[in-house]
This record gives sequence, structure tokens and C-alpha cells, in this order.
Amino acid sequence: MTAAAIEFRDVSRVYGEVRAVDRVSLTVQAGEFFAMLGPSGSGKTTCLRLIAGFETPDSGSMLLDGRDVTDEPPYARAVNTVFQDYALFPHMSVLENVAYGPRVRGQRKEAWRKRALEMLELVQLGAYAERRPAQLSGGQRQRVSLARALINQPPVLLLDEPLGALDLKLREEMQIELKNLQRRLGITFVFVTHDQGEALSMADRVAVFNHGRIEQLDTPRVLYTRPTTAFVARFVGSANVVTGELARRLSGRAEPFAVRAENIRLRAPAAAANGDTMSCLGDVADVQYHGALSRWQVRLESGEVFAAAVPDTGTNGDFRIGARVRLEWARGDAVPLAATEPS
Amino acid sequence: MTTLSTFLYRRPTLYVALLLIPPLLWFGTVYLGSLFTLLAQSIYSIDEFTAKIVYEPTLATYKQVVTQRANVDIILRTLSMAIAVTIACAAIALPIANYMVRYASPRTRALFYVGVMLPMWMSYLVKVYAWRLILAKQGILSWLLDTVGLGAALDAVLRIPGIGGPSLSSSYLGMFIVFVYMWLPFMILPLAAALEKVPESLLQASADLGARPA
Repeated sequence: MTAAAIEFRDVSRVYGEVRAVDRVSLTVQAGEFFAMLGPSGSGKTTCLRLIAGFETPDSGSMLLDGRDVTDEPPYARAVNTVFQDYALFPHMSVLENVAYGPRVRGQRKEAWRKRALEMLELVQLGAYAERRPAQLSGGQRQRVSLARALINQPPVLLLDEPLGALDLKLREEMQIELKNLQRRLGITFVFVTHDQGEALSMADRVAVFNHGRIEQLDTPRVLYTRPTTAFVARFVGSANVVTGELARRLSGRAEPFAVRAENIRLRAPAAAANGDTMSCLGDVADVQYHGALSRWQVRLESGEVFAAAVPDTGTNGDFRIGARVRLEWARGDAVPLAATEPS
Repeated sequence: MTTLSTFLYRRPTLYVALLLIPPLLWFGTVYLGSLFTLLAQSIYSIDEFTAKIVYEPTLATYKQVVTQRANVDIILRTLSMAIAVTIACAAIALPIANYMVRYASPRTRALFYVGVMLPMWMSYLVKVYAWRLILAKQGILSWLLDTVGLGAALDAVLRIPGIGGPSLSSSYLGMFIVFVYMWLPFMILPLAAALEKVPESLLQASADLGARPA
């Protein structure tokens, strides 16, 4: 068996009192598109910086392709990074920026020039070689940054919220492009993002970070349909998390569970239960129109607010704000969660 | 009052002009005016008997500057001293500025800024006289070198033609030392200000792409 592209063994990084990364162990296979997802301050970016070598762990060890790199400086590691702010050198042309890697490694001018032009063609910026970074748009800078990181042919590419600064349309285009690029080059991508949609749509596997630890590491589908903790259920696709007394009343057991908004049906209050379901009564607090779906906020008698995402067919038009409705979902759509979650 | 401010708000050019005319007049007459007077005088000559200015345009002064051996010597000496001092200041200031901006804690950084700027508040003459005492023939430095047994080395250095002299304080080497001391803050402060503007991620990017510290 070949060695994993990246391996963390009990890695911790502490800043003063804060455990930014807390005993994290993970394995990223070669050729995988791996996403690190979490809110800001969850430790995902620190993990990326640990892989790049900008940070050194306080404890634990890290392996790249089976080799221990825990104490190796960034320039000795076979990884390259696309920075959140792109970090293009402002005093160099686009071509010189892209060629930086081969140039500091002492390649001859003809060689690095040719290689850098190829990389610029790869990201469709061949015509911009002589421009300065300041003369490019955000999306173009992003591509230059990508070309510069790929020119050394790293087996692992790290991307630190690379799409964060782009507008929605551009972001969607870049998502597709990055995915295609990764498939074409066959190298490992490690992608840090706080956008769950981005992580789910692009990654092969996603690690969800919270307070410096991995809450769950799974494929996007498992993560979405079978979250194991309340945090993951809420953060990935904002599911309804049911705890305590309400959970006991609905499911018969005190363990918390999650229900996806799109698995909840809205029915008339008097409607009879249909099949093996759970149901409860509430008042419509708000309706948000999202095109294909409408998101209904329903306040239960016990005070909790449930979200139900219902296809906008017009049939639910009877319910006005303040109207009483019955929420219903199949028993199988209630996903049990780990009971230890306090939030 | 309100009408006046409205009047001025609607005419930004007039507003700026009103604010700028007094300082510009001062700057123009006192500063530029005296410079131009000096420039004008350079094309006249001075009568050597009466020491009066002869108002007849001539380029004799300029001819003297480039032909008289003494003038050329002074220009060359000044220029080489300036170049040597600039290079030395840059070599000393860059590590200090880099340390201040990238590595020092906020407390240490403040200390460094004070340390760099404090000597600038002292009078030029005071500093020069202080250095004369340090560099004099029987001064602190030669005493110190004698004590540790390096007096002979100092004498050897002072015998080098071009930079040496009878004592450190009267040698070019001494002047060089004092000039470097005088002008160091003017190298450190702008370098620190410039380095502060370089984002950390640029340094990380270069390390990431394979640039080594040495």
C-alpha cells in the first residue's frame, strides 16, 4: 500500500490559552480532494498552515507521503499554497510571479520562461504575462496564484479559502474549474473553507472542524444525511436539532436527533398521521421565498423554531403567517446524534 | 457664517487656494527665492579688490569648479564618503529594521523606536563633541583598545593611507564612524516603515515556493 499524502498524528497547536488545533489525527489519501470545513477560529486554517510548514506543532507529528516533516521548513516540503489574499509579488510581472518557484531553485531563464508560459496557458491567462498583479481583476489574480503554486508540480496543493474574495458567479465558475484541474492533474487538493456548500459540492471527503478538533470526517453525502453531532447537523445544511424534553416527546427517547428542513412536510393541523412518522404542531412565524424552495419558520408551542424547506408548488399557500400547521416527517429521517453535545 | 461656509463648500478650488496661498508665499520667497538668488549669483563674478559683485554674466565660477584640483578633490571626497556611509548605514539598518517589524514584541519594538529616535533630539554639535572625546588620541576608544592590547592594531589601521590620520578623530575613518552614527536613524525609520507594509503572506509565499533564508 502506498503511503498517505498527508498524515496527522495527534497534532496540537496552542496559542497561549487557546488550543487552536487540539490532538487532531487525520489521513488524506493521494489524489484526494479534501476539504476542511468549519467556522472561523475552528482550527482549519491552522491545520493548513501546519501542512505548509508556516506553523510547527506543539505536539504530535506530521507525515507527507510517509516521511516525517514535523520539523521541516516550508521550502523543504513538497507542498504549495494558494493564499487567501493571493500573496502575489507586486513588484513582479505575472510571468515572473508564476516563475518564482523555478527561479529560486536556480533554473535557467529559457527553461523557467517556457514553463511559466505553459502554466499561464493552463489557467487561460497567456495574454497577461507581462502585466502587473495590480492590473488584474480578483479572479485573474486567483488564477495567477494557482499557476504559481502549481509550477513546482507539488504532489499536494493547499488552498486557503481561495474563493472567499470572489463574487458569487465567479466563485461558481472557479469551483468547476478547480475540480476539473484537480481531476486533470491527479494531485491532492486540500481546501479550507467556511462555506459548507463549497465543501459539499467539491470535495471527496470533508473534515468538519469545531474548537480545534474534527467533529466528523466523511464523504459529503454521509456528512449531510448522517451527521453524528448537533454541531455538524447545524453547520452542514442547517438541520433542525431536537434535544431534551421535546426529543423524548417526539421520538420516545431522550437522545437528541436531527431532521433536515427538506424532510419536513407541512400539513393541516387536523390531518391524521400517515405511516411511521413523527409530528408536532406549531405556528408559522415567517416564510422566505428561495425560488425552487420556500423556507418556513414554524414556532412550536414549547418555543423551539423549526425550519421546513418545502418545494414552492403553491399548495402550501393556505398557510399564512400566524397560522397553525402540523409538521410531519418520517421516523427514518430523524438522525440520532451523539448525546454529549451541550450546545 | 453659514453663507460663507456654503459659498466655500461649493467652490472647492477657491477654498483650497485660500488655505494654501499664505504657506506657499512663505515657502516661495524665503526658501525658493534664496535658492534662486544663489543660483543667479553663480553666473556673476566677485571683484577681488573691492569684494563687490560684478554684474556681468560669466561662466568662470563653473569653470573653476571643474578645473581647480582642490574643488574636484572635495567633490570626489564628499561623494565617496557619502556612498560609503550610505552602504554602511543600509547594511546595519536593514537587519535592525527587519527585527523591529517582524520579530520584536510590541514592547521591544517601542523600545527600539525610542532608542533610534532619541539621539535625533540631541543637538548636532553636542553629538559631534561627544564623539570627539570618544575618538580623540587619548580618548575612551584608544584607551579601551590599549587596555585590551589592541592599541597596535589601531595604530596600524591609522597608518593606512586614505582612511588613516594622526588620530581617529581627525581621520576619515573617524568621520565615517560618526557619519554612520548620525545618519543611521534616517535609514532605519524609512526601512522599518516600508517593511511594515510588506504582508506576511508574501514572505510565506516565497518560502512556500522554495526560497531559503540563505
